[in-house]
Amino acid sequence: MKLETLELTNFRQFKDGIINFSTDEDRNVTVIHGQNGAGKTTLLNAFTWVLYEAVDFDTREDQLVNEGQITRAAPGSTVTVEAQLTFLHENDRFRVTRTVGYTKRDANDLDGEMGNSSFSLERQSSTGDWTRLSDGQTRVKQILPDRLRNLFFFDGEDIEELAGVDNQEQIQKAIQNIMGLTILERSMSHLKDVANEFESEYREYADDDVEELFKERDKLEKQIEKKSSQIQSRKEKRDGFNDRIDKITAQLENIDESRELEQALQAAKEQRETTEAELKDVDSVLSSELTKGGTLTLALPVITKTAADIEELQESDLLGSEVTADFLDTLLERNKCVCGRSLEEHSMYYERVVDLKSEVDVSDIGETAVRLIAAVEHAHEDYRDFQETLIDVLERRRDLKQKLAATEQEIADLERELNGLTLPTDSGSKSPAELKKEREEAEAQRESLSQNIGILTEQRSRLEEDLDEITGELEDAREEQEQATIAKKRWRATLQTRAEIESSFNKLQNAVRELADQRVSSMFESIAHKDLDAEITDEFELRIRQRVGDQWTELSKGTGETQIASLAFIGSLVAIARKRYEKDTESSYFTGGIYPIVMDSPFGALDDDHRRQVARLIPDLGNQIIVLVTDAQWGGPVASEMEEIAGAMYTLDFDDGTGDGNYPETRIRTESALGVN
Amino acid sequence: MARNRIQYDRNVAYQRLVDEEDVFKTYVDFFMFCAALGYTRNEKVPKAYKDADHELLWSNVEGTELFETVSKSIAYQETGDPGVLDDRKQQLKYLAEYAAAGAKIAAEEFETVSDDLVDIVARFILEEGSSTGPGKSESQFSDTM
Repeated sequence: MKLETLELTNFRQFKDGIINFSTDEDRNVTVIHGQNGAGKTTLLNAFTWVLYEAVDFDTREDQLVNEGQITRAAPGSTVTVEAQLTFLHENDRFRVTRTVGYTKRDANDLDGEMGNSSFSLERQSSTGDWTRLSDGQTRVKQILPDRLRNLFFFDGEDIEELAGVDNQEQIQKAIQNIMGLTILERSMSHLKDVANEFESEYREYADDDVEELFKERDKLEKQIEKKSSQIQSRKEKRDGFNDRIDKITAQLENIDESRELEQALQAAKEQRETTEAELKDVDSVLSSELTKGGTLTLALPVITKTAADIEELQESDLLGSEVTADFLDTLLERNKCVCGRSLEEHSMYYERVVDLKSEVDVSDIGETAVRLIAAVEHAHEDYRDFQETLIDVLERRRDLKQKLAATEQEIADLERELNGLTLPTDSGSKSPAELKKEREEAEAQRESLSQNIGILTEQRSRLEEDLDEITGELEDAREEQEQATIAKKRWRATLQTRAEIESSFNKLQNAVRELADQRVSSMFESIAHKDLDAEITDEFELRIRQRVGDQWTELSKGTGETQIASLAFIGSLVAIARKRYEKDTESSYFTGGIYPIVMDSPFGALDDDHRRQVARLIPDLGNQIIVLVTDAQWGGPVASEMEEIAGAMYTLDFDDGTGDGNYPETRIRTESALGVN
Repeated sequence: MARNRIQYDRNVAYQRLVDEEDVFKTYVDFFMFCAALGYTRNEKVPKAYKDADHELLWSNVEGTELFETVSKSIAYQETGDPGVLDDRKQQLKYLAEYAAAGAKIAAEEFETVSDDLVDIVARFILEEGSSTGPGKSESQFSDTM
């Protein structure tokens, strides 16, 4: 799919206007910039409205009509709002049009009454005529599935959330969506219902004991579900606190008075975390050493003495020989003694060796003694190693503890200084001290929720263990229920099918995750600092890690890198969809597609350096990119980078309509039109 | 006493050093430490395995060369009989008696430690090593080997 034009009539602040998007392969970016309120978000919404009749405005979502036009309209007349999008798809040109009328009820009616909207999808023939398609809405959703729209039309400032705390669900959902895996998910859910039906049938035949087991299982399942929902709700609450904490931290870093202190505080806290982790590792080593070394230290005298005693017994021949029964057997088989004498069966010498063998057989003490002496030798080597390691570890531990104490002191000093900043600042009504106090309260709440989540998770695990046990018993009981054989077979077949689908689902999902991971990682690598690395983990988290020395630590949230990684993730999904499409394979789930990306304000609150990096990343995100950007973000590195790569540029000229009889209105003005008409 | 199990009382020292503070990884590890401690201090609780509240599998002792050597050595020093080296039942009896005393000593030794138990235990072991004399016995060991 390649977007060609978007034409708006009476749509919010756009009385009329048209945008020709760049369809150039190399200069694949169209830039539209304007001041705040000029209508960037409206343009983004125009796309989703014309395609899906969906809008997401902060205020008055159903008020699509141009304010000036409805005010000036005569009572009883209707003002038509229209959006028309032309695009190319698989060698055909399509035109999608959506209109809705607003009727002015009387002279004082400044909103108008919204009528029913109408929709049409037309295809251009080779002669240039347009033919209306009967299944327009369905076709549009096939070309650009509704479920994917959040991935291709998005507010750039929101995407930072992708790399936010506990974002697995969003990432997982996006990955499922891009592959059309939701179809499989629905199948699994449907099969669960089918299995339940067969199970009910089976229960009708089941005896009382089995019925009891079913009841017990149902009860456990309900309890587990309840625990899961409690855990989920607490996690959501905790996410809320996490966001709050991040926001306050960002605020504190933005206030002139507290910036340095806050940055130093965050650095000290990170240092504390690193030292604590190191200390934990050292403690684990220490505990491993003590576990055997303690016994070794205390017991070395007794085992040494025992070895010496045993050796003495051996030397005095009080323990018997070290000759083994096996060795004597070999001599008897060969009919030759170790001294070279012949051992004929029934001969005197033969009988002597047989007698010797019976003596050896009654006790293995000689061998045991040899093993014990050898073990003591090892024990002495181990003890020397243990002592050396223990002294090293204790020293390392002492250093880390001192370092930790110093960091704690630094944190306490910085916090005290922050607490002293009690005056409100220019940038907000709250003082840094008040903000810090708020953050501490949120941190305490978060900690308490985390503990609570831990307890609930533990309780749920125990319930799940009980459930496993009951399920096992039910499995056994099932075997005994002859009357229920058929229902049982169906039930099992359903469960099995579901398990197989689930397994394919997980495999596919993982395959896409891995592709996305590779793509994100290489895209990120090409743009970010060499000591940074982005990945999509097995748990579907988008993580950014930083190399500090030989170790990787997770980068704190809310940085420019987060924004870059999130964009790289979106880019990876677009690339996967395209790759799948170009492969042209028969797929039961998803044939892929070539999609444009329309993004509103991808530069967020980034510094110039990161804006430059994001600007460089944008052309690589997809085949066609439309970037909506505020004037505040425009200029500097963004303008210089984008002017280089843009195939088309537009300015949104906004008139706020403060003069008499005027209403807010935006005009779309072309700045340059490379590669477009 | 079952042949394959060791009966022992899991006193407060087990809870503290194994369950809570993770100083010792397993109950078997701490049990053997206690047996060595009891033996070093020449203290044992006769018939400690009677009516004890927990059990350890003998295979956990036997599977570790050090533990097996300690078990045989203590039993040998108690009896002076080389036959005890292959007598699991006798070895279990002495281990349990010394471990019971050792656990009491450990409980008293560490009960007042409120902070950094692992460090205190490590230093206790280092001190025991220098005072009870693996160093001393090492020379003795060298002489005999």
